[in-house]
Amino acid sequence: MTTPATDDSALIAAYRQGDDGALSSLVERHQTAIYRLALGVLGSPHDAEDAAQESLIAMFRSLHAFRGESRFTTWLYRLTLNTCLKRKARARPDAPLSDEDSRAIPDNPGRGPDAEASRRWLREQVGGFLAALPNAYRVPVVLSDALDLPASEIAGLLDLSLPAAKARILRGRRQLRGHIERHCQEAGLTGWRELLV
Amino acid sequence: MPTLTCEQALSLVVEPRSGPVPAGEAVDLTRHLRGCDDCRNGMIACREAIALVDGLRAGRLERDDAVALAAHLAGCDRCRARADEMRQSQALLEVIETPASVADRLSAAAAEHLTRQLRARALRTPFGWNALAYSDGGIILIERSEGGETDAYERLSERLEDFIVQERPRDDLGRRAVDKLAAYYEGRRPRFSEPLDFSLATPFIRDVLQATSRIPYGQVRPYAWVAREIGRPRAFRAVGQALHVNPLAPIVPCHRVIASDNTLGGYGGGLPMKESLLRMEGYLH
Repeated sequence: MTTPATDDSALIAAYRQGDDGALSSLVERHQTAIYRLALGVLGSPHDAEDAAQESLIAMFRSLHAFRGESRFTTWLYRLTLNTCLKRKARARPDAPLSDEDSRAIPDNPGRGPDAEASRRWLREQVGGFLAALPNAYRVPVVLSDALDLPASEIAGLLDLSLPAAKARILRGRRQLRGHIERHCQEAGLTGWRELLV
Repeated sequence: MPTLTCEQALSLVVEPRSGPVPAGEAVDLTRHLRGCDDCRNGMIACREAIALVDGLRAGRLERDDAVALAAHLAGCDRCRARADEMRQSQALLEVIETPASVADRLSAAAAEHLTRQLRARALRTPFGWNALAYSDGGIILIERSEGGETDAYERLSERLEDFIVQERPRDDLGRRAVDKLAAYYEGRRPRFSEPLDFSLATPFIRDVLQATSRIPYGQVRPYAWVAREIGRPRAFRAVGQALHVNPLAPIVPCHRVIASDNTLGGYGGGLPMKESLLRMEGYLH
């Protein structure tokens, strides 16, 4: 009876030793991060779903190239990012999402009787809010606030200087807040700040 | 003139409040800070405060840093706005969960990958180590190494440019193939009935290998015979080249193909090995 592996390198080692369950654990462990990143890059939940699957298959195929020189997550996020960017270039080469593009935000606020319903509604709009951010800000904000990566790692992943990465995260958050505020005002949803806690 | 104590000054800047410090209190605070080195030394700049805000998210702040940050945020609208933006952004993005449909697709992709996942098993032979790579689709590659077991596995991995895992406990294919290979090298005549995966071969090479597989134990055929078998009677030189890169020797017995003048021709593992195998099979004496 072996102890279940709890970190990425142990899971990969177990998988290499013939433990199929270790691969499933690795997938379960990272699927949310892969999906969040895909949603961050692509903006659309539908595209993000396809891209998450594509990224995972790319991960399986290139696992042999992971030498453990960097953290597994750094390697995985870079691979996911590249897969999503390729997909984006393939799908709409001339039409990057712009900060004016808020079509993805639904019009109907679906106001509920209580704060929980409003909170749920607000959270359902996440994809739309993200889609409304320019690419240059959306990806750093997602890496920072959805994947909890430090700015130094984000700078490395996106090939940015550290000050540039920090600036994009700050500006991205500000724009995100602006979009939420505007959208909630239009929707007549008050007290949205309290909902986000 | 009444001035604040250090405790009062600190509580003024640290106390949670919804807006900036009221004007009257700010004057008192400023007066205190001008005259108090200790409190002034505890103040931090916006740049430092923002760095601390990033640390705040993961609960990584030391108590002194947390107090300094709280003090700064209480007096600095700009940084407080940034901290709020961070909290709101995190609160919003942290709730993105993988939809069930995505989780299902990812699990299915993993399960499918496992059926194609290459596994490997090695055995020692009189000619060094053999390492076999296979999937549910069949045996795809046999590498030989005189450098040992690890080297044999590494050769497999390099040639296939893929992630090779060791055999799973429930695998039967690899175990059967290795047992039969061991029996073969001991001079017995196992029947290799395990599926072969020719995906490393071009269509031409695959035809050559399949024809070669039909040559019985202990017998030989000339290159020209193989060329005729695959309907390309003039391609006997190309047959020789194809057999030279046979990925499945000795299960695909390319050592049983010789020149028309009964000389041995060539062999990827070297002529002495070809000669040994043919002697072992009883063709040569």
